[in-house]
This record gives sequence, C-alpha cells and structure tokens, in this order.
Amino acid sequence: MRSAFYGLEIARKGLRAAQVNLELSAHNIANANTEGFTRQQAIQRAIPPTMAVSLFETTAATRIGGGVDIQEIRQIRDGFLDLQFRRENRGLGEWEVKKNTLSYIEAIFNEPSDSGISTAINEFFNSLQALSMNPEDATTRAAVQQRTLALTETIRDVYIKLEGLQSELNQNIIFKVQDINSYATRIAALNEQIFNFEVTGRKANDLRDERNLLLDGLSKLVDVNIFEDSLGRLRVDMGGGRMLVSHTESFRLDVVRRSDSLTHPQYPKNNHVDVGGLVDVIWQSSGEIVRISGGELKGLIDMRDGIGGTGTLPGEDQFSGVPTELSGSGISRFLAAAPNKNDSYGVPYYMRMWNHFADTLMITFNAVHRQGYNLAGATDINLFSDGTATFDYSNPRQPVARFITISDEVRNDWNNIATIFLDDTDIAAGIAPDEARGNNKNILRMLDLRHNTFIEDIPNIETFTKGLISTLGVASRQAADMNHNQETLTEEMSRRRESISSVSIDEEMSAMVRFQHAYNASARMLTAIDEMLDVLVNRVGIVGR
Amino acid sequence: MRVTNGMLITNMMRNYRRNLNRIEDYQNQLASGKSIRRPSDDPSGASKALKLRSDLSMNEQYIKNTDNALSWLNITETALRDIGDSLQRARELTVQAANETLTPENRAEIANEIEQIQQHIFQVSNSTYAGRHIFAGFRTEAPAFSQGTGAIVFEGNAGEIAFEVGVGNRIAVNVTGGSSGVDIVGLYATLEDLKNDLRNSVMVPNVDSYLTSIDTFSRQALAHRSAVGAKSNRFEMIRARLLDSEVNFTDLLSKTQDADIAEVVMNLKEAEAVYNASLATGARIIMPTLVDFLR
Repeated sequence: MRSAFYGLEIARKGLRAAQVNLELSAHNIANANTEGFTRQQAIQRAIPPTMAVSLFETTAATRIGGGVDIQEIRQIRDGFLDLQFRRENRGLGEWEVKKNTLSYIEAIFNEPSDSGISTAINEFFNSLQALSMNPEDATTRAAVQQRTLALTETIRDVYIKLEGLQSELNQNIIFKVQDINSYATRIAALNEQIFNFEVTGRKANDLRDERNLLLDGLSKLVDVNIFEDSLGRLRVDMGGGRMLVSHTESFRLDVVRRSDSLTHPQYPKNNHVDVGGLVDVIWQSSGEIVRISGGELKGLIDMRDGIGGTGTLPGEDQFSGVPTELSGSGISRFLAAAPNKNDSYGVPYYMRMWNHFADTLMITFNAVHRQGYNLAGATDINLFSDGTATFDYSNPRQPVARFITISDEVRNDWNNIATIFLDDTDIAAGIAPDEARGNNKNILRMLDLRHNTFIEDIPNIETFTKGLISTLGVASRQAADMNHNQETLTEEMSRRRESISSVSIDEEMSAMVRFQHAYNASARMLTAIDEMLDVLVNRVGIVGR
Repeated sequence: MRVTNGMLITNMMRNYRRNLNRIEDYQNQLASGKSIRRPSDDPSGASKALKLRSDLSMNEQYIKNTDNALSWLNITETALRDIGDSLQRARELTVQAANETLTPENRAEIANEIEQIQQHIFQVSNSTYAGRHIFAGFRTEAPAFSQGTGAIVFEGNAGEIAFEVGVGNRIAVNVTGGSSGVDIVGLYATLEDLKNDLRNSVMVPNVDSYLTSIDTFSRQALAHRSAVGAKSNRFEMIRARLLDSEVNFTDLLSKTQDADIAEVVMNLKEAEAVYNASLATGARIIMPTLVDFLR
C-alpha cells in the first residue's frame, strides 16, 4: 500500500529535474561563446518502483515508479575527434613555423628583384667586362673596385641575416620550452583538482574543458600522447614515450647551451656554420636530449639545425681546395667532421651553401688574380680578403661569407687590380709585365670563372644561384602547401568537434521551452494532488457533523 | 550534421579571410606588375627568370663590347686607309721623279712632299682610341712609334688585345705596328731613302726598286685593311644577333615573370564578387535565432 503523499514526492522530483535542466540551459547559453566550452546535458532516468512486495499488495500491476532522477551532468564530447584534432594540430604547428621561416629566408635572398645577389653578380661581371675593354682606365677600374665591394657587402649581408635568423629561432625554442613547462604545470594542477572533485562521483565538466583547452594548446607545440586511466588519472607523454605529466606531477624540460666543440660527448655543436649560443632541449631530471617528433618545437629545431644531410657535406666538412687548374698545384683544405645531425633543409643549409659559394668565389678569383699583374707589373695580389692582417688566400677564415671583403691592396688603389696576364705567346714575344698596360687577359680569365669555377659542386656561378633560389622556392612552396593542408585538416576537425560539442542557441531555446512546460506541468500536478488531499483531509468523514 | 551558430560564424570568418587573401594577392600582382614576387610563387619560373635576367644582362654587356670593338676597328681602318692613300701619293710622286726632264729643284720639291707624307704616316700610326694607342700592342699608354733622326722606332709589342663578345667568344681587335702587323718602320725607312736620293743625287734614282717596295707596303696595308673590314663585318653580324637575342630574352622574361594584367584584373573582379557574396552571406548568418521568436 502506497503512501497518500507519494504523488507529492513524484511531482517535487519533476519540478527539481525541470529546474536543473533549465539551469543547465542557462549555463550552456551563458558559455555559448566560451572557448573550449563543451555543451552539457543532464542525464535523467525514471525511478523504478520499489521492489519490496508488501503483504497487503494484491497485484504487482499497480506498482508505479518514483518519478525522475538526474543521474549526471554529462559533457557531449567525442574523444576520438580530440585525438584527431591534436594530431593534425601538431602538424599545423610544425608547418606553420617552417612556412614562416622559409618565407623569411626568401625575403633575405630577395630574388627575383633588382637588388638581390644575382644583380650584384651581374653588375660585378659587367664591370669586369667594361674593364676588359679598357684596362688602363681609372674610372673603369674604380667601377670594378666599387662593384667588388658591393658584391662582398651583399654576400655578407645575406649571411649575417641568416645567422640572425638562426639566433632568433634558437631564442624561440627557449620560449617554447618555457611554454611547455607552463602547460605541464597547469595540466598537473588541473589533474589534481579534477581528481579531487570527481572522487565524490560528480563530473568536473568545466575543469575538464579547461584542461582540454590546455591539451589542445600543448598539442600544437610538441607531439603528445594523452592517456586517462579508469580512475580518471591523466598522463601526458612526449618525446618518444617519456612522461611530461603523470597525474599530479609534471616533469620539466630545460635548455642547455651547446658546446663550441664538435666532439663534445653530450651537447656538441652540430654544424660548422652554427652561430654560438644554440641550445639543446633536455629533460631537467636526467639531462637527456628530448627527442621531438612534431609540433612547433620540431619546426623550430628543424629550421635551426637542418643542414640538408648528415655526414660529410660539400662546403661543410670538406671545403674545396684551390684547384690545380688555377694554382698550378692543388691546395686542399680539410675541416674536422661535424655531427650534422639534422637533414632537413633549414637555415644552416642556406648558410652552408652561401658560405660555400663565397668560399668558391674567394678562392678561385684570388687564385686567378694572384697570377696576374697590376699596372705597375707587380704580381701575387689578392682581390678578396677575409679582413684579417694574416689573410692566407689558400685558407681563409671561416665562415668566408661572414668575413669576405675586398683586399686592402685593391681597396687602397684600384691600379692594383691585376688585369694583366702573360700567356706563353706573350712570354715568347718577350713582353714584360710592366710594358703591357693594354693587356686584358687576366680579366678574361676572371670572366671565365663565371662559367667554370673548377670546383666540383659549383660548376658555374649562374647555375649555383639559380639552383639555390629554386631549392628555396620549392621548399617554401611545399611548406606553404603543407601548412595549408594542415590548416584545412585542423579546421575540419575543429568543425566536427564544434558540430558535436558547441552550444546551439536554437537547441537551448527549445530545451528551455520544453523544460518550462515540464516545470509548469509538475507544478500543476502538485496543485492537483494538493486538491486531492484537501478533499481527503478536509471533507472526508464530516457528513454526520 | 549538427550545425550551431558558433560554427556558422567561424566558417564565415574563415571564408572572409580566404577571400581577402586572394584579393590581396591579385592586388599585389597588379601593383607590382609581376606574377612572381618570391621564389615560392613559382619555383621553376623564378629560377628561369633569374637565368633570363643574367642572360639579358650579359647580352647587354656584349652589345656594348661589340660597339666598342667596332669603334676600335673603325679607327684602325681609317688609319690604314690614310696610310694606303699616302702610299698611293708616294707612288705617283716616285713615278713623277723618274722623269728625266726634272731639274734638281723639282726633285727637291718632290722630296719635300715625300717628307710630308712620312710625317703624316708617322702621325696616323700613332692614332688613339679613347687615349689608347691602337698600333702599340699592349703598350697602349705611350705612342706606338717614336721619331729619331731619319728613322722611326716601334715602341710597342706584339700583344694581342681581344674583346669578349659572347660566352668564350673572344676576338682580337688590334693590329700591331710591329713586324707581325703593318711594317711602318720599314715603310718609313724606304720613304726616307727615296727622299734622300731625290735630294742628294743629281741622277734620277733607281725608281723601279722603290716602286716595287712601295707596292709591297701598299699590298700589306690593303691586306690588313680588308682583314679589319672583314672583322668589322663579323662584329656587325654578332651585334645583329645579340640585338635579336635581346628582344627574345626580354620577351621571354616578360612572359615568365610579368603578370598578365587583363587576366589578373579579371581574377580580381571575380575575387571581389566572391568577397561581396561572402559579406552578404555573413549578414544573413548573423541572423535571428529562436530567441527572437519566443515572446
């Protein structure tokens, strides 16, 4: 036999449920534009009738449920989409960095334009051509002197800007490491809050949103794997399965300055061309270098360290010597092997190629220039120098591209440009160097270097610059395309996520109307039961009065 | 698929951005007139443009070089023509001097004219181009010949000056006054002998041997002159070819890197239309929700 007041309790539960749902709609609407907010839904369930069979109950058919119960407030979220989004977001971070960096390198080379390196080269050779027709003339010599100066300045300018870019990338890596540490700390703190909250059996929906937003942000920086166990403890792995966050504990990353030595056992300098002060990203606890396989941090590291290969590279480990054709005796130069760990085409690749180009230019032009005679009949004069007093033309100071300049001799007196060269015929004719001012043969020999440098991997100057610019163009284009793809993918993922998780005002409005009616109806029910009880309590059994 | 208000707005913003980017790109192309502004716009086109630019720059320089070579050769030719003409006159005078009716005074007059011819040949042999003595071999800074008593001396050398008028294409432009070129020293000496004979001898000199050597020198000068002329023709042909190449290179370069204005304008107009449409859609997307109808 049920209590007469049972209906009141059911109606009360109906009111309560409608109220909770209305409040939940209000919460959803209020957060419609909150970043990372996931819409929430109340899961309600009908309360089954009590199973205890009473002695007086005649039939089970009259059993009625106990109204409604709100079981939990649930987030509408698809964990699989989170996984996909974070994977694509990692690619986006990497390619965004690469695209921006390569686009900046394009701006440094400034080609095709009227002020880039190819113009400087063209003008340098044209001034030599003019000199070949008028080797005695002071103004033509002055023009060559100035064009030579301009060419070396352009080379240095490009190289110094590339070095600056490498330093900036390094600085950015340090910032990103701080970011990652900050993310890790915040995620660990949230893990603790969420865990403590959920111990009571409720869901910490809004804290979870906050944590998901942090995980999204972190996924753009590095490659992360996220696991949550059945007890609600979250672990974040990165860098080849190492823990970054383990529940309430976070493991910090750190940076350590690389050694200046190429053979340092732990943190060696990677490439010959690298600027000083580059850092390795390490685990603070063990000092081990972090292996990073994605995200902005990978983009930055690839761009900072990528030299386009590993092992022995032309213009890096082994510089070309002075070719036999030019010096009479081949002079070789060797540098110690560099680790060259990163084979992406980053800033060091362009530095290496640029330096190789400058080195080739200096070595070959000096070799030819030294064999010629100036107007006074003197020989062994350099055209280029590395700016040091102890300049050795067969082994200039590295990186040449940073130091290359016009030699002091030619800077001080353009008559020192060695235009004169006496070939076998001239020597047979008994011509002395000091009576051959009209001789332009050494200029012609220098002009030959444009089409044949005698150095293996730089067959000629045009092919080299053309090749470098087209490599850069292709790489930059590819990065831009990849970036665009990743953008499209992350956009699609986030659209699908939004489709499931974001708040729809229309839906919330319909829900509001629905639960408003439900509330009204439950209230009406309460009134009906009240009337019923009124009849029972106040009117029943007063007939005889 | 469930679509929410937030999604509509995100999409709208994304499309705005995309359309604006396209408009920016076309506007840049129009403003610069170039379809390739950085290598990544068109990597192969950019490297082709680089090559064409340097080809064009070389070509322009080679045209300058041929112009220079032609001027040099013109001056050489003028000088050789002068020498040839002078020799012609000397020959006439020699034939005249053979006339036995001439008095010693008449012969002295002829001798004086021969002396003038000598002076002229000496001066012409020291011709310069832009301050450079063209017959002096490598010693262009000083006169090719100096004058002593009754003789001139070649001060230059046999150096051959070549101009580059194409990749690896070098052509010598100078004729030297030494023994390998026109033998001006010998020529001068012959005239000197003739002059002295006319002045000193009472007899008619041995005209035949003088005529023979004058003819030899004439032929020599003429041979060099026609060689110079042939060389000039060669430079003219090279120059014509270089000018053709310049037109071709310029045309190719323009096709490679210049924007097709008509096409870009069309594209820009189209992009503008799309942008306007996306703005119009935007106005509809920020539309009333159910809220507006619930009273």
